[in-house]
Amino acid sequence: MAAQTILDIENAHKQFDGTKAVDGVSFTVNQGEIFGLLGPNGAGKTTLIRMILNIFEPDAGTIRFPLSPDGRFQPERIGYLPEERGLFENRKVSDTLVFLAGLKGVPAAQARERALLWLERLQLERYFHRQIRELSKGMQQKIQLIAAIIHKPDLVILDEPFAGLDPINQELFRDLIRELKSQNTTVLLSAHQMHLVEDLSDRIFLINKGRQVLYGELREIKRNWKEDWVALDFRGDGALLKESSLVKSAQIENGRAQLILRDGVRPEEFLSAIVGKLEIEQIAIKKPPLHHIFVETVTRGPHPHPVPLPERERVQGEGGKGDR
Amino acid sequence: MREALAVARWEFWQSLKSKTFLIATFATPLISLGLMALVIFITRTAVGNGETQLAVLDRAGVFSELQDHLDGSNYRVVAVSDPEAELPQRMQRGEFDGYLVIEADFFQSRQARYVPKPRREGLTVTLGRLEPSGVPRTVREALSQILLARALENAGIQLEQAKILSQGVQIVMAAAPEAAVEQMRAGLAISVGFVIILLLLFITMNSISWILYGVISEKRNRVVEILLSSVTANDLMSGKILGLGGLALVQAAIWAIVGLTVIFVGGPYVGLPTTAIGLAILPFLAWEKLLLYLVYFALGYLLLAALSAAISATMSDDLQSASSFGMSLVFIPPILPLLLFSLVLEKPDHIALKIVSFFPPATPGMMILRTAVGDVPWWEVLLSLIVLALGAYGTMRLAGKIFRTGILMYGKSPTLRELWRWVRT
Repeated sequence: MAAQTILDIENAHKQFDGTKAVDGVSFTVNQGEIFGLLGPNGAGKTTLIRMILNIFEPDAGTIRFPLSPDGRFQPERIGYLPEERGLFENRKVSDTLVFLAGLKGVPAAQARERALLWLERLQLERYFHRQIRELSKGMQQKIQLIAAIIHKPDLVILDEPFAGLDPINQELFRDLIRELKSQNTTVLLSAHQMHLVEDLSDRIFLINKGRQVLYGELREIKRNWKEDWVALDFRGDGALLKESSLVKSAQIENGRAQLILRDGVRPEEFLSAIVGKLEIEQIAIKKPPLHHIFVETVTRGPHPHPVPLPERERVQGEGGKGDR
Repeated sequence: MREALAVARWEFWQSLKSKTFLIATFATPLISLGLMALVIFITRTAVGNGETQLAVLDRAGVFSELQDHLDGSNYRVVAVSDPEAELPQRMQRGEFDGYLVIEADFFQSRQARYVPKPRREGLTVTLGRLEPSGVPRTVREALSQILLARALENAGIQLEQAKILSQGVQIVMAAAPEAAVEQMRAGLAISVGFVIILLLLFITMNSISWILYGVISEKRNRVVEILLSSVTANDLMSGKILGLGGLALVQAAIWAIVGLTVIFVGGPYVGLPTTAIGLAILPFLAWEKLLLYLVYFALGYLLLAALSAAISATMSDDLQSASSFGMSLVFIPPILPLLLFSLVLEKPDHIALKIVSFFPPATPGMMILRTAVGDVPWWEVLLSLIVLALGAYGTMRLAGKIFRTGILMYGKSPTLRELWRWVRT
């Protein structure tokens, strides 16, 4: 069964004072998936999210929600954890959650019940009647996450949910996001922790300077990535690895090599080139992590053999991409 | 609309429960009442029982007559004897507040000397005694009557008769009932108008300062981000205006109830028949105008509150911006009628006042005052209502646009040019 589209953005533009914050962006988000919206700071992610949330209207293009009546934005079906964090400092946790849930159409009694359940789950129940300013930053972040999902939305937009969290809480949030997915809640995830994004996302959209630079299924993107990484433990003279015409860059230390193969070099080619010349103890050939793909794409622009994209989403020309 | 009401309820109840509100509502009036009571207490002790002790050095033999005449007045006379030279010292010691020397030739010279106790500089509390500090009139009249009675008696008129004649003529104050009622009504209308304008200003300023504080802190702590994903900026703004306006009304009501209770319950304790006065003036209140005042108030409040919400939204997080200056400008038009108060009393139909009446931010105050003072043509009232309603609507629309963009702009205040761009889109 093909996934249904829950969010459809087509050729969205937005500019402020002559600066193009979002410049012709198109993508779709499927129901029930975790969709990574990535990009460096100032790439236009927040503007894009605000357009999705109907806070800004796009200057051009459309943003539709095919599953809702008339395809329109329905605030009570969407949850949002903003990157800029904050809650009413002088209000009680209980009152705040009930109010925010109420704005999303949850009756007060039900909201209290759900709030309490969530707080118990996150071991914050004794703060139910406390004022928010008594909570630590991490706790406040949990309260905000609860506020984003307490009304059981179809689509949750999490903007930098892991920022400022310790590793334990990062894992907690990661597990919660997985749980949302298992309940068929769609998650639009924007984050800088590439290992977590890689771990969670089904598909990603990478935006830079207001434009798309990468878009598609994460697995596909990696499979089509131009370079392979080789991790090699060996005995013998490693110099030949450095000198090999197949290798783009190499770090060699104590019989352990980290290599990046030249674009388009297939793993078999490399293997046959070294067989018999080195004693291989252990070898792993894999695609680079998302972190590397992110950095490469943003700093150098999309690689020369872009992953195949749907027609209308293809980035045209070179302008607006990496400067180097 | 549902969202706006939810925001309004939230703002209203949360602020009502907050310590700041409770302190402002209950502690502030209590402290002012306490201060007032203290001032009254100090004043009363300083004035004493309101009687003036007058020493009389009587060389003409009129003391007992004078005592009779001053019986029931604020003066208590004591006879003193020579030497006169000692009297100033005795007065300084506080034995009496002044002394009167009546020479033996009083009936020929028709003179008496009065020496008041020198006042200490700067302390001129004369509450309860509205008499000039110069010659005490009561004493003068008493002496004149003694003089006259003696003269009449000498002219062969019987003593009793002479005494009665010497009382002179008494004027009894009375006014035609109709006119008196009219006058009372007019005076009341003006005072009620004045009080209503003050209340309007007070309520507006209170709730505006709450709006200002709320918007800036929500902007600073970024709660707006969450709120705007659920409600539109317009709903958020209207909710705040409604909720905090209601809160200011509640505060005003609490103060009015406390104030009236103090006046009616406390009045008799300080010798004011407040209940009787209240009951007497009640029928003269222009009830029919109160409804009109309410409409002016509501529209005026919406206008000013929307304006303030927009200005608060453009304020950068630290309050240090040109917008603070803009905020102080908001209050000038509504204060205008009070500044022009004396002109309104004299010439409620002055052309300048008419022009000000149709400048929406000043309309409520000016029209309330003008309709209170005199009759304003019905078309002017209607026109002012229309102008005000349009002004309020336009301001809310405009403010909504500025609010929507400004509330998400952190770190800097917009320039006028930017504001103009927001308004146009």
